[in-house]
Amino acid sequence: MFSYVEGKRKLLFCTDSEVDRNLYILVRQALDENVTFEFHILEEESEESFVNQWFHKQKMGAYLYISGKEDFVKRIKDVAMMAGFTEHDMQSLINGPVKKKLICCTCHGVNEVSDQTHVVCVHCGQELEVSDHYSRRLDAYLGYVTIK
Amino acid sequence: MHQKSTLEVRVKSIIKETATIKRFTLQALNGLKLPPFSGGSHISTHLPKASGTLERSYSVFNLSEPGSIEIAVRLAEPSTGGSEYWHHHVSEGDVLKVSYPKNHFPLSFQAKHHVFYAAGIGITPFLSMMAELSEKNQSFELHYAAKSKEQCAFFDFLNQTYPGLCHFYFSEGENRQRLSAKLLMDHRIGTHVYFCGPDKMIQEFSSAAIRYGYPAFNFHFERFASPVKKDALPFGITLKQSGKHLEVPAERSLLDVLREIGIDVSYSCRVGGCGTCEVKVAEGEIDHYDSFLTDEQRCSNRTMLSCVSRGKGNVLLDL
Repeated sequence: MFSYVEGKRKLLFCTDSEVDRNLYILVRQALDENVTFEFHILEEESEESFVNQWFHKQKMGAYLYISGKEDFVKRIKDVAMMAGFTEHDMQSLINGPVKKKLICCTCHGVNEVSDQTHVVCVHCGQELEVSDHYSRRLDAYLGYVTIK
Repeated sequence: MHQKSTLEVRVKSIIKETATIKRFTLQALNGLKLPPFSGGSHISTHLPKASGTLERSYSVFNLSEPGSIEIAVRLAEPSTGGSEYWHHHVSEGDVLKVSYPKNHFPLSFQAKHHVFYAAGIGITPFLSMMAELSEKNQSFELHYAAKSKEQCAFFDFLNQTYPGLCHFYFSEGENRQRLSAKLLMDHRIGTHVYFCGPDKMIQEFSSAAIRYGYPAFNFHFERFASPVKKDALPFGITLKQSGKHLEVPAERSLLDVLREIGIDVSYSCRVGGCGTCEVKVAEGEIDHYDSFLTDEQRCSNRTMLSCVSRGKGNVLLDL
């Protein structure tokens, strides 16, 4: 879930769907507290250049919430990072299924996982535990050897 | 670790930058180069006073030939000993002991833009930072407050080396301008800001940054001296291992008292900024004066920085 971050000068909300309810409670609070905000529903991929401009003109003190399907969140997050946002100035929430890359600690092969906690490496057959050890460089999680 | 070892250096030249600021160029004795350093680094200098060795830290930079280390020292009034020694007892050709360069004030490597806010001699760490960024072709700007152009060290150098990137604010004479923390409102997303100056300036800029919504990740500062403690009180400590009880008088730090009885607590900055002298607290309440621990760590009453923080009443230390 999202958490409302106090003390920001401006909030930016974006989602890929009109019916996304994840942001409503945050918008409500921003209205109650009289915090400036901007809200965009971005349904087309072609809106990327608009998003890029929107992010680039933001000042320090802005805070971004991204809500939507996995591909959308990843795409918007990348644009935000390029503009200068870091994990300290944004939160994101994925609606629907999440595909994660899992790196096998034995053969370094890439496996695709969703919400399983244990998988067998498709490359070398090693039994792996899906950890929360995330690599920003690889955009992947580390799969540990399962200890029985 | 280089922290304990020292280097011998020769004072190659002394240049008077302003009425109160002198620049010292230090060189290696053997003709080799002194170690390189990253932007924002400092050295501790060991000054042989009659009353014992005095240790003082200064930001390092190098505007001279490669392999030198330079420091700029403002004669403080009143001086606690360091600046008075540099200004009145150090001559060209003298040999002194200094530490290897250390860095408690590094540049962010994620920033899209860097903004430096300096007041007075607070310019010194930014000299090395700007040199590093300029070499890497990264985006930065400087806002620098001084009493007047005459008292603004490195004014000409900065204007010539970084044209258009330096903004000056003089509080005396004609066209007075104040360096205002409101400037923080106008920095693009991805900016990291750095403050160096008197305690009051750092307080003002840090609280403005928080008020404008800056994450703590994006603002950085370096103090010259420990924050002013107006009403420091003596407090008692008990050492858990030996059961020994000691008093820390109002005018002394816990670090000094511990080191005096032979407990080898490591330390570095002595102003509550680096975390080296952290000691574990088993019981008791602490008044924290550091700028290193997180709020959560402070509230836990389980740890303290012995150089600046103080106990309330009696404190049981895990030592």
